Amino acid sequence: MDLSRRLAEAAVRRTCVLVVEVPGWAATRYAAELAIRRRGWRLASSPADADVLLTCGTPGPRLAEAVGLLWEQVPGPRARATVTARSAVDAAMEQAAAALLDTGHQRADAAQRSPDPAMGTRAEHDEDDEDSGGSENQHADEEHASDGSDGDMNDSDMNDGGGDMDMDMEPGGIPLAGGAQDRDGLEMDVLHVPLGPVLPHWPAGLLLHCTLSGDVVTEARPEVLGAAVDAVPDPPMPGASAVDRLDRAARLLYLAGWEARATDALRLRDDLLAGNDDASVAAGVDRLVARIRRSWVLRWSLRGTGPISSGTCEELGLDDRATGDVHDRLVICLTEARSALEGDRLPAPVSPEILAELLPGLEIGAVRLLVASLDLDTGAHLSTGTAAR
Amino acid sequence: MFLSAAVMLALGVGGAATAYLVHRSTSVAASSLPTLPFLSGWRPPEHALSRFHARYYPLTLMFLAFDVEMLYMYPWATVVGRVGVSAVVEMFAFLIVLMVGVVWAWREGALQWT
Amino acid sequence: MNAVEIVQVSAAWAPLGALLLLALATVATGLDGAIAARAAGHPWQQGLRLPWAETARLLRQRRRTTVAADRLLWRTAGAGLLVTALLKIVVVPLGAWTLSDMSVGLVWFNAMDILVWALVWLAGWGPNSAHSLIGGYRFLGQALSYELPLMFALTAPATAAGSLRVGDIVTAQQGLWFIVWMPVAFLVFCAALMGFSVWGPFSTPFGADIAGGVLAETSGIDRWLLLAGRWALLTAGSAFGVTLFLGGGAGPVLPAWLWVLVKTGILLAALVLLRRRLPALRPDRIAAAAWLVVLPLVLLQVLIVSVVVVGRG
Repeated sequence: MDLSRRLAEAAVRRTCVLVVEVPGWAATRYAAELAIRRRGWRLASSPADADVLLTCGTPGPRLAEAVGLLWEQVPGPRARATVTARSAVDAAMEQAAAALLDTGHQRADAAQRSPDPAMGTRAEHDEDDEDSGGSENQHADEEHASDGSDGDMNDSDMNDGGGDMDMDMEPGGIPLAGGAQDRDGLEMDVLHVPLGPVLPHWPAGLLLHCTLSGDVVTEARPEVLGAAVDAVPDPPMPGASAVDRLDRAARLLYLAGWEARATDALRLRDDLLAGNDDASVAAGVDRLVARIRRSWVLRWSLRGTGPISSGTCEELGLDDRATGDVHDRLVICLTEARSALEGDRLPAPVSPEILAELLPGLEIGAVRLLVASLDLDTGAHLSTGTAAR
Repeated sequence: MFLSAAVMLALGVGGAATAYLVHRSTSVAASSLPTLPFLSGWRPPEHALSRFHARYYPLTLMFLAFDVEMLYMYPWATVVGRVGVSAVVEMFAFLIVLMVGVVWAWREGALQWT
Repeated sequence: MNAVEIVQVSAAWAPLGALLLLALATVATGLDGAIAARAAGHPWQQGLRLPWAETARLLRQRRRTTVAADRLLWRTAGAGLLVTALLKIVVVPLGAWTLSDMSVGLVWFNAMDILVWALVWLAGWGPNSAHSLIGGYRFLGQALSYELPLMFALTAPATAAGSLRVGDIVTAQQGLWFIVWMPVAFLVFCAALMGFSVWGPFSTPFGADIAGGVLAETSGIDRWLLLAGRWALLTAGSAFGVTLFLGGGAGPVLPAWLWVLVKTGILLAALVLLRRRLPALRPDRIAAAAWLVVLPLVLLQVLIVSVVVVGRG
């Protein structure tokens, strides 16, 4: 089985890691991402893409539930690790790599997995369902019950063939989508898609209950899932605000599909964390800003995306630096990183609650960009996932 | 002439089948893992396969108009040289009419859907 | 430059054509990996191994089937991209040899291209996942923008050659490559080529903002086939671009077949380098530009070509 050993060795060189950040453990995530990049590994875009599931921090019960389901969705070979301090990252990576290399162990793991899919829980929490009196397993709430009757028979025929517990309108134990009137006057199906807490390039702990009509978000309700009550988060870092700004700029650039510049921003962030001289990082930031400003394609592609008018800003209590579109906020984010390096104080982060106002009507790509362009405060709700309603 | 295409098709399908066969022996498990779709760690409240609202549907109609036009365009390309000026005038008169349609659709907002 | 007479060779050469396509695609992924590795602060040699490491990873990885997935259509779509790329190169002459000298070779290429619409959409529809579904529909929105300019860009060389036979188009470029007097058609072709390969600035259907979109639920060999299919499409498209606009096998010293490979490699490398400089173009953004700016421009290009053709008599 020398061949299988060599295959494993080659595979582990390109390990993909799905990183979960619990609010409060940003520093640990930075360290993890740096370790991933140093090893030539890569961040996974979904559990299907992942070999390692890495949790940074101690999640509260609901966040832990989500992570638990994701673990069941990782195809394998798979390895799981939880780190709660920067110093623990490297050892965890070593262990994960060793576990992935062990083909016998991986085969045994694959063999013992259940032939039925893990069902997890729904994002809608019990507490939020009080009015409908729903338990976690009750998925036929009024909306679906009423739409089930006019459900498209063709759809249900096509969907059959999966799970073995098919009921009439619930193949695989999941109801069919129901319709709703749309702004275009057509009756189309809507999907309820929770965004977060585990999504690449997404603020830690944020859960957005979205209603999607096509690819447009028609309704969004934000919530924050926090850490476990007694957990001790990362100690505050010196220079945290500049690091945070660079991290957010990288996230925005990834979402805008510009991997090359996103890598630049991440490397600047890592330089800063490694204690590199502020002046050299500042020069790097200047170069990045200049390159971003020079790209008319980026400007054209982001212009007018996720706009916030000065009126809305005032209404929502936002700093007026948030006015404009995503491109404006990307440039401001980087200039803020620059001024933070020089010791300036930056505006305080804003509550995720404002998202409920800002998001409806936007296409999902624009939603992602807008969320990344705001400095959202998901750490303030550090308790255990209380609804931010 | 189409024999090569048929051979290529067989190669492609055969290649993919071989890839699946190889994967059966190299993968940690030959069977596929039954799983829920990725939804940030939650069970989907409903199936994703649904009547999806494709907001660009007015654009599809316009596309169809041009697509039918392509039926004429290809044969036209082979005879322009022989037929001469009249072929050019006729085809581009037709295309200009279509372009006027595009401009009208743009003013109606068909090119913007978010 | 002596005129190259294109001859059709036996279908038994098809495996060689397929191998060359895959070899070129591998070189392109290696180059892409090397550039990315350097940007991430590693020696570039490390990036060259990247396609192999990723292949090894996906060969070891288990496949997934999502609940109530449309399995047949999903898997068909996954393998289909690679098959389509192979079918595309059937009409691309390698120097003096072509696998299929059809009289409608250009239309054949175009038809294969339309197949990609169905395949990418099905790959998004199949897994019964919200992210994939959005990715699939995103691709259709994007295809509505690139396909028409592409078709008219294809018409330009055909009009100049007065034939839809790919061999005739190569022969018509003896002395003057079509890129010289059809630059707009060439640029549009290159953009559309990235469009139908769902690659680079046109990769939003596989975007990071929807968790990988069409790829979101695939793992193991299913994922490998989709990824390889994209690179193969990009390579096949580049080879066709060389044939239509860059004189095919024409060139000094080297034999014609080698020139085709070299030019295809150069075009691929240019695209790989270009990708690092550009962000993604969102489908809802490109629609207006494609229909109101690019389409009239490429029509103007066809007009100029046809006027020249008529002028020549």
